[in-house]
Order: sequence, then structure tokens, then C-alpha cells
Amino acid sequence: MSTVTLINSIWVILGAILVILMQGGFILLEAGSTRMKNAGHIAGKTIFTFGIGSLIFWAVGYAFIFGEHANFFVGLSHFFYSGYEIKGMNLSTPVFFMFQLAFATISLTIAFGGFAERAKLSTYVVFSIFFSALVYPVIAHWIWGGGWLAEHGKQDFAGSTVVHLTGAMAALAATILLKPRIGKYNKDGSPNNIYGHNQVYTALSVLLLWVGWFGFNAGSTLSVDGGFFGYVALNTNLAAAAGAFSALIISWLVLGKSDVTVILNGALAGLVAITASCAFVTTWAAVIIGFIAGILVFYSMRFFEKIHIDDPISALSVHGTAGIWGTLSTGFFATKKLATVGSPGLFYGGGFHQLGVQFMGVFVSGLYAFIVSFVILYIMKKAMKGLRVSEEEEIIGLDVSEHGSYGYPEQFLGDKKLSS
Amino acid sequence: MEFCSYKDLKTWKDNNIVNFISDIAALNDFHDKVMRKVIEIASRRMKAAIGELPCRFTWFVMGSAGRSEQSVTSDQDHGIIYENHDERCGNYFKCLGKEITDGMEQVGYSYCDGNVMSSNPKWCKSLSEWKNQLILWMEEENMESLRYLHIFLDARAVVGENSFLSDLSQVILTHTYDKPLLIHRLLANIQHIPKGLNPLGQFIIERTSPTSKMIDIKKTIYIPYVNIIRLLSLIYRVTSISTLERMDSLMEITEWKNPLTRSHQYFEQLLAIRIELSVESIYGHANSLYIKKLNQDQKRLIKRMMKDVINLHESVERLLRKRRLL
Repeated sequence: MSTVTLINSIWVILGAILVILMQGGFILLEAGSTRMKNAGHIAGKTIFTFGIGSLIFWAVGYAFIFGEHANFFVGLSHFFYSGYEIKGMNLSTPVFFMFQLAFATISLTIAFGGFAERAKLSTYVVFSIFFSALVYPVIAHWIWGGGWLAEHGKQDFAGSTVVHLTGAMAALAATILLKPRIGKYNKDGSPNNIYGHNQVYTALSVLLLWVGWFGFNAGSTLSVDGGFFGYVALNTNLAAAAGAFSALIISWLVLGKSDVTVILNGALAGLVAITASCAFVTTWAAVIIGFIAGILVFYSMRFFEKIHIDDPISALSVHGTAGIWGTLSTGFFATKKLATVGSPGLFYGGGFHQLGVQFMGVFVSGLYAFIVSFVILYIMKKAMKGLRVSEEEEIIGLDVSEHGSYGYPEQFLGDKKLSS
Repeated sequence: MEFCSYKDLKTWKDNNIVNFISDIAALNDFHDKVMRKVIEIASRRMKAAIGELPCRFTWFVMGSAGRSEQSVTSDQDHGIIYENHDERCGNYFKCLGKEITDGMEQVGYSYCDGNVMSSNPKWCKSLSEWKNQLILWMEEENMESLRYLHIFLDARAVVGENSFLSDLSQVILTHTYDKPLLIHRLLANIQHIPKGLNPLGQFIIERTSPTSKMIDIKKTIYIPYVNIIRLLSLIYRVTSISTLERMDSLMEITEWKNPLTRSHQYFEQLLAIRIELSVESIYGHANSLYIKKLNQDQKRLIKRMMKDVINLHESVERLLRKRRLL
């Protein structure tokens, strides 16, 4: 193995480690944004769904995405990948495998954001399997595995569409089928605030994710060639910064008070949006892309609340709306010099061509992820007698109803029972 | 008219209140009448249970009742001052205070969340204890005692000796006379005004139940007006209690004539809106307006009120700064 291959491998395994640590960010994000009675469950389920997602990716996911002898939907070799080197990669194949596995499981975790505080534990188990086998790999194959969208020159550097939009569309299907949490809406249709129990967790999660995103985006260079990963990291940071700032401003302007949740989601929206475009655009464009994402996420959160879609951790707005915007953004901002895939964007002399490709890609991918997730969940709903816990279980909380123990025992049992 | 029980009184009140809803002064006279009847019944019961009144006393109301700005429904804010400082009187008025408070509740005035009621020992004291308490509040200057002072400044005697309350007002006037810091602290206590408009000048509309799609005119307009006019009255030693009367007196001062003329109009309109709201929503949210029910003129008026009350607060701050009180 050459020195360059070795260095590339070290860089990409570092990226994989950072992306897997983002699961820790999601644990804090989801737990902090929801209520105490569900905290242990929400944190714990992220670990086992990461486990299931990993196993499925090993068994079929990688083969479907990157395998040879592909049909329209998936590739068909390298099932149960055993760690052999595949030629022509410029980095160790197991490292590449681990990096891709990390992405697939992030998409799964995003999807589960839409399930929070009401789905049965068994729903998580079963959907982990089907999402990891049938939803994510198809879109990843289309865009990254040499599928038809790749042939059109679809630009999605690190996965605004592949990872984020796919996860968000599954979350949308789930929120529709699961219906809002008890107490979210009143009889007259007006919404109630269901506050998350720990804003400090949520803020910390955003920082963890922000740092993890350097693995996500900069790691997606898959090489250290020319130190280009530094430029990608720079763009990533600028977009996150601009998203946090614009979300602060817009919530301040409209609400009269700057809302912490909106600020945090603004930073995440900036990160999601720059994921597709980070390698293709200038630093100025990164700032604009992040800034617009921060504003979009604010209005998107209000929109979903208004149409009675209860999205406890704003997965639809952060990963869906910002994912769509990020994918389209390269159609505007990709420069001639940086567009190593596809063509330059509208503002850089490329006309509407790339914007059209981006639009088609985001539309078809989003539609596929939504429909297939909806069908899977619909069948599960019939077969498993519902996706949702009973009313009583939801009220006492999933910690005790699904696991028999509490994330915060002192809160619910008092001191006496604990001391025995 | 004699009433045997609180229940009879409530029936009479519920049947007759509709005759007074068109005029705020008449409505408040009616409330006063009902409250006097409550005290009559309570006193009669006390006499039967533990004997004659041991000394003279004053029963006073505060809050919107004190300022004669009550709507159809209202909660309780009241206290007792009794003349003699001894154990017998203490016990007697403690029982009377509790009887009155429960009676008021039975007649339809809900209990006060902040426990500003005659049943609370803090608000039921002998004249000498009251003096000490007021001085303590003025010297402590913490947020809670300053809030109590604001509340007490709206006190109005409804039953009994008027002079007790004027004695106590005098204590406050004397004590604040040379205390710019206290005025400053009283201002700090009311400076937070919840925003009704965002920086773009649009309404901030409540999104969540029970007031979704509404704007809260109590927090954003009514209370800020009441607070700042109360403070300004203290600065200029105006002794009226109702906000409109306070404004009338303050308008005799040249520099306040112009700004307050506008505010006076707005406040009158605001009181009318509040009564209308309380008639409409017997159970509901008498402090908030449905944004969709307002026409363009009404929206413009509400926005002007929101801005005017903020301007008024800023004018008072400027005044205090000019006088080197801040």
C-alpha cells in the first residue's frame, strides 16, 4: 500500500470516527428536545438502532450501494463484506466501508427523530432493518454508487439529499402515520408547546454535531490530496455560523425574542444545507447558503406545526427543508473551477442545466424515500397492530413502558424507593 | 336590601350586573355595592359566632377594584387595617378576613393567585403594624416588597374608617419624599414590558393554547399604562387612585399635558375594550384579543397604544434622569 493510500486511509477513518460520534450529538439533541419521562428510551434506542443499521449495512447495504452488476435500483455484489481490498480506491476499502456505514446510520437516526415520544420499541427495531436495506441504499446508489443520477451529474458532495433528505422523508412518513403526540394539539386545532426537558443538552448536541460535521463533509473528500479537505471544512464552518446568526435574527425580528431552539436549529440547518455544496462553492456562497438555511428553518418549523405535523425535534425542517435547499444551492452557486461533478450553477455561467439536475434529483429522491418509507410503515402498522404505544404508556412515558426503568429515577420514584 | 347568604347575594349580582356593563363607573359602583354587602354578611356572621367588633377597622381593595377599573369578572385583591394593636383584635380580624375572603369567592370573585387577600396575615394588620410593614417594604427594596408597594399604592377604602388608609398613604409620601433611589427602584420593578410588536412593527401573536392566534392587551398595554401612571402620580404626589383620574391630575402639569392627552384617550378606549371582552368571554381570555376579529382601524389603534405606552415609560425615565434620580 502506498504512502498516499495510507494517509488517505487515516484521514477517512478519522472522518468515520467523527461521524459516528455525531450519534452522540443526536442522543443529546433528541433527549434534550423531549420530556424527562422518555429520556432514557430515546438515548438508548439510538445505540441499538446504530447496531442494527451497522449489521444491515454489512449484510446488504454496502452491496446495494456500491456493488457491481447493478440494476436500476441497486448494485449486487460484496454482500456480507469481509474486509478485502477493492482495487482503484486510493484508500483502504474497510476504511471506506466504515465511512459509508457511518453515513447510512446517521440517515437512520435522522429518520427516527420523527418517531420520538410515541413509537413502540418494536417499531424502531423493524423499521431500522427495512430503512437500512430498502430506502437509504437505493438513493445512495443513484447518487454516489454510479446510478442514474450520478450519470446526470447530480451534485451532492456529502449528502444533503442522500443522508439528510432521505432521513427526513422517512421521518415525514412516520409523523403522518403516527399522528401528533397526546397534548400537542387542542380540540380547536391550536398547538401547545411541549418543551424539551434540557436545553443545555440540545445546545451541547449542536456543538458535537458541528464538530462531527468536519468528518462528514471534509472527510468526504476521501483523500488528503492538495489539502482540499481544509477548504471544505472552512465552507462548512461558515455555513453553520451564518445559519445560527440568521436564525437568531429572524426569530428576534418576528417573535420579539430570540428563540434558543430556533438558533440551534439554524446552525444545524446551515450544516445540512452546505453538506451538498461544500466542495463546489466559494466561501461567500457558503455564507449565503447557511444564512438562507437559518431563515428557512424558522418558517419551516412554523409551517409544520401549523399543518398539524408534530415533529418533536424539528427533523423535517432541519434535515428536510434545509436538505432540499442545500441540494438546490449548488445549482445556483457551483463554480466552474470547483464543479468537479456536474456543471457550474446559474450564477456562474452554467445556465439552468445544473439547477434542473439538482431539482430532479431532490424531487425523485425525496419522493422515493417518502413513498417507500410510507409503504413500509403502513404495512408494519397493519402487521404489528399499530406503530404507536397505547395512550396510557405514552402518558407514563416510554422509559418505564418500554424498558421498565427510568432515565431520571429520582424524578419519578422519589428518594425512598431508591435508597432500598 | 338585606341578604341572608352569599348565595342570595350572588344570584342578585348575576341578575343585575348586565344593567351596568355599558359604563365603567357605574359598573364599579355596582361592584362596590356588592362588596359592601359581602362585608355586611361576613360581619353579621362574625358577630353571631364570636361577638361584637372589638375596634374600628378599614376594609380596602386594591388592583383593578382599587382603581375602579373592574370588568364584569374580577379576582380578589383586598386587605384590612384595624385600629388597636392587641391579641384580641388580631384574632378577631384574622377570622373576619378569612370569612370575607371565602364570602367573596362564593359571590363570584375568584381567589387571588398572589394571595393578596384579607385572609393573609400580610394584608390584615393593625394600623401600627401596617406603618412598620410599609416602612420595612420601602427600606428592604427587594423585588417582592417593591411589588407589594405598587399594589398598596392602588388601595381604596370601601368599608370603615377612611382616615386609616390616608394615614398610611402619608407614611409612603413622607418616606419617598427625599428618596430618589426608592423611586428608581420602583421604576425598575415595572420596567419590563412584554413586547406586543416585533422590531418590524408587526403584532407578536400567541401561538400556543389557550391564547393561540391572540394578542395579549393586558400585559402589553393595560398593565404598563397603570404602572407608569401610578409611579408618575407618586413622583408628583397625586393622590387619586383611578388611572384616568390620576392622568387628569397629572395633565395639570404643563410638561405632561400633551403626552398624557393622547394616553388618556387611549386608556379610555382600552377600558371600553376590556369591558367588552369580559362580557363576551365569561369563562375565557378577557385579556386577549383574537387578531382575526380586528379590522384595520382597530389594529392600527392597538399598535398606537402599544407604542404610546412605551413612549410614556421612556418619558418618565428621561424625567428621572433629568432630575438626577436615575
